[in-house]
Amino acid sequence: MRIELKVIETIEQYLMGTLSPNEKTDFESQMNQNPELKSQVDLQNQIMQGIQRMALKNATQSAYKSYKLQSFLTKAIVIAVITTAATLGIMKLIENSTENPTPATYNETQSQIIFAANDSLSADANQYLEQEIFKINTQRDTLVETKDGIVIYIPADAFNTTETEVDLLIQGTLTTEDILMAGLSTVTAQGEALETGGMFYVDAYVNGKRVDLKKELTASIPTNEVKSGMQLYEGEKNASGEIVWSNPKPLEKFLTPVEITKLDFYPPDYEASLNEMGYSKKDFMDSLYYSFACENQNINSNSRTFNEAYQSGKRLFQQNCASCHSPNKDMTGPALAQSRERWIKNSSEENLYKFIRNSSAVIASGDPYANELFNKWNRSVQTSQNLTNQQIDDVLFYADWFYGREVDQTSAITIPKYDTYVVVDLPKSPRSVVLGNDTVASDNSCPGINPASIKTIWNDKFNSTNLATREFEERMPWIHKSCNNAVLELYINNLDKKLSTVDSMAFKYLSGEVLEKFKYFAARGDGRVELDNPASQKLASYFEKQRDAEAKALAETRRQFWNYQYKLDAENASAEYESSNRSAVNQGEIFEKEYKKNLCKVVTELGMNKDCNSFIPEATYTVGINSMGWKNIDQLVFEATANRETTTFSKNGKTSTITYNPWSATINDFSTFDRINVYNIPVEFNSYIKLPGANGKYTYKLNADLSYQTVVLAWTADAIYFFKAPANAGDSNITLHKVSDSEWRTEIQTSLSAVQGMAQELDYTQYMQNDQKRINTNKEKTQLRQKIEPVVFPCGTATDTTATIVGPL
Amino acid sequence: MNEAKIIELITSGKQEKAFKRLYKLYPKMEKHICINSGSKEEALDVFQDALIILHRKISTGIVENSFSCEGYLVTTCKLLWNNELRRKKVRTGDERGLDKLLHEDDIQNLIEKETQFKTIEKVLLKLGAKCRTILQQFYFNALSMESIAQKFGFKTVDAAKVQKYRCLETARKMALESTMLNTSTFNEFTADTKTEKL
Repeated sequence: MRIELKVIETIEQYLMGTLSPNEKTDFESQMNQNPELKSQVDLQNQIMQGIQRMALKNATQSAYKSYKLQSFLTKAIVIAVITTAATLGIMKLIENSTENPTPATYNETQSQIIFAANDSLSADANQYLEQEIFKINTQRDTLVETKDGIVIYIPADAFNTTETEVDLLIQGTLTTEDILMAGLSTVTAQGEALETGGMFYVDAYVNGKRVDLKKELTASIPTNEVKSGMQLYEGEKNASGEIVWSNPKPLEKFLTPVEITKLDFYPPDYEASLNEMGYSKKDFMDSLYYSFACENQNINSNSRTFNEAYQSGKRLFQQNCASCHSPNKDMTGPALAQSRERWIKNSSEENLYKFIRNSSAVIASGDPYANELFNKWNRSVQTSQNLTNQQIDDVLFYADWFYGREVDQTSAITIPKYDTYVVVDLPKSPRSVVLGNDTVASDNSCPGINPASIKTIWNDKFNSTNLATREFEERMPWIHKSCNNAVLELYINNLDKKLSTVDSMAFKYLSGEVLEKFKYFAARGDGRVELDNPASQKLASYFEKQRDAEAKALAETRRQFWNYQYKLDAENASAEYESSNRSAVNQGEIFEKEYKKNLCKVVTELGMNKDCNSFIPEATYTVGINSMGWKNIDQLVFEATANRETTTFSKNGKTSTITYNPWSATINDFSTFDRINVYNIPVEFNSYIKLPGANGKYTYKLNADLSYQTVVLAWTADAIYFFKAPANAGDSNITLHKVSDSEWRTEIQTSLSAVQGMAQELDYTQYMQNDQKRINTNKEKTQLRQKIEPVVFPCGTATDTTATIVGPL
Repeated sequence: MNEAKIIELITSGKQEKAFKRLYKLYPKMEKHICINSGSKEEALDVFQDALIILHRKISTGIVENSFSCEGYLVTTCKLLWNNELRRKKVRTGDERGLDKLLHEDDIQNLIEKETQFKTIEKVLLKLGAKCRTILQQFYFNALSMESIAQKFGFKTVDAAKVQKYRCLETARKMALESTMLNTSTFNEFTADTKTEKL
């Protein structure tokens, strides 16, 4: 069995208590020493429990099925007796009840109402049903709920009385069993059988005298299933004291008002998808959703967005230019920032583009500025760059911006080519990033329902409107699916109309499955929340203003955030340039020293009676090693040093060998670090070489006459990792260890700062490590947004440019 | 409802029968949840979670004589739903007649643990059907490795064991991958706009 599986086995035995006492103590002490093992044990325990949970869940579900089946069978017998047309029975207080001046007495001790024998409203059934009596204060709106869950809303001053207290009697029978028990019929006056959704009796008394209703009460009757065709029948007592049902009225489809923030207006699956990815905090989900808000904007069709120019410029700069140029400092070549102005002043913009693509041609054409540059920079040739004008613009934009950032961080930067550029916030829906001659974004081109609109209506301003109802919530997923802001706006602009009316108004915007759904909604005849006309108009205009304000504010916050992030990114890149600059300088110096050392060695060993220092011709560095013809020793040594190859020299029977041994190091678990820098330090020269490498493998050739130290500095968002040891020829594996603060301050800083340039490298490492968390977070956020975008805008985007990478990746 | 019978059913591994009896309480709980801004699906979910918690309570410890399954289940449902409302940030302050309920701390404890297991359960649902069944048979139905080997057609008991550990290993990897950081926010995207007065 593989070792990993063995570990799992032992953990299992531990968790199930099958280890012997000795083994158990042993295992526990291992666990105490090894936090990783401990967390592995915890996880495995959770998995075990999770498996048990899964089985239990299955059991609850199959138990539910058999329970349902059983109760269905019992119900089916009852329903078989009463079938066909549907009713919701109610025995309602008849408006004019003056014929019965003393219909009932209120029995204080038993808290019961005893009906008079000749009462016109109550029937035999009332005697079998439990009475629920509520004391109602007539000056207030009151809501009562019976044991069966019937909820009755009584507005203030609903009864025809001046008394402040009324006894409200309710007797309900919602279940078929109760109805049969009470001997209530389910037959209409015409003898038709009815299927009942429940019956209840409402009555009211003041001091034992029945009182009339002045205002309408509203009752809501709980049901597991809303059946179509339910009507409200009124009960009438016939001669034999039985109740027969008559005068059916269709039920009014009241909306169910809910405090608006309790409703779910997110796009369908939005919350579920995020939960699945492990995000569940409401604040977080809100902020992420609103970050997709679309802003009305007109983008000049020729301009490139900041993001596009920045990303493309940065990438091109790093790939093509960074080896010789810095954006803002002179290196092998001049700083790139403001080179456009310099060229316009001294030559022409056109020549700038030509020069970048082929400098020799411009020099040959005799352009004075090109020649001046060539001479000024040691006659080194600028490598021809196969770039389009736009790519060059991007690179220069990046350099200028980089430079501008340093000059003035607060004021806007004017950049010649892109002075019309739009600093469009970066992480925004791709649709509103406009390229070339594409049509311009307006709110209607938001690829789905604008989150800014949702933010506007999803707050208590819209409480007590049609929007703050379960019924509107039901429509919301379908409004999202329509992807048409006009549909949402219909509901907002018609708060004074019934929801079902607005449903039909929306038909013209819809098609297919969504249209079918809205037809269904319209057919349901959902009503409206009472709202006077001025209020609905005010809300509609509020919506319009506020939606734009929200969108603007969201965009502005985003802009500020990302502009700030880009500044930090530029600082990060700047630290990176400085580090590679330092490395280049060091490499040059080490080469020079090493070359001298090699040369002196060869000169001495060959017995040449000369001062080795005088052997170095001034021209060595510019002549290069490819020249043909006669070569003397120093050139050979130069080649050996430059190529780092073992070379033997002989003269007059004497030989001398410069030995280079291959060295390589592999960093264990390299992929767990965000960055690894490997340095070899030739001790004698007190300087360092930063080694190139990939996939955790770094190679170098050690000069056998020098001794080296290998130093590795790596980091993750959480910590710096370190390694230091003498370098020996051959392959080695390096395991890094986490650096504590005290180790960093004492051992590392004190021991390495003596090495030339290393103090700055340490600062750089510390700075980069600190910044890593920010970079990772931005990256994670960007990726999350890309993942969730199809859920937010289910219709997708016609001009999908999601390839636009956002943020520093 | 016969409390002793239910406890006996659960401790003897006949939880399904016990659950079926307990579903008698379901309509009442469904009504409670539906009235308190929940849906039927949520109600069923909460009720089933409560059944699981009751099962854990009974199967992992000894319950006193006065223990009432019914009462415990109802309290658990209510607490679960309160928690859910709080999680949805729905309810502010409306905690009707809240004297501490019987067993409340004990139940909240179990609920908290169960929430962790629930997360893991979601991960496990993605596991292959065969792996899931093997693990369930072993950890839940306490089937021996011998009978598992026989049932699933492994040539040797060891082969079955190795398969089981592999399944666990996969489950572990999936669980690790699914625990994404939930700490950062998109707050930079949320603007504070001053809302106009109507």
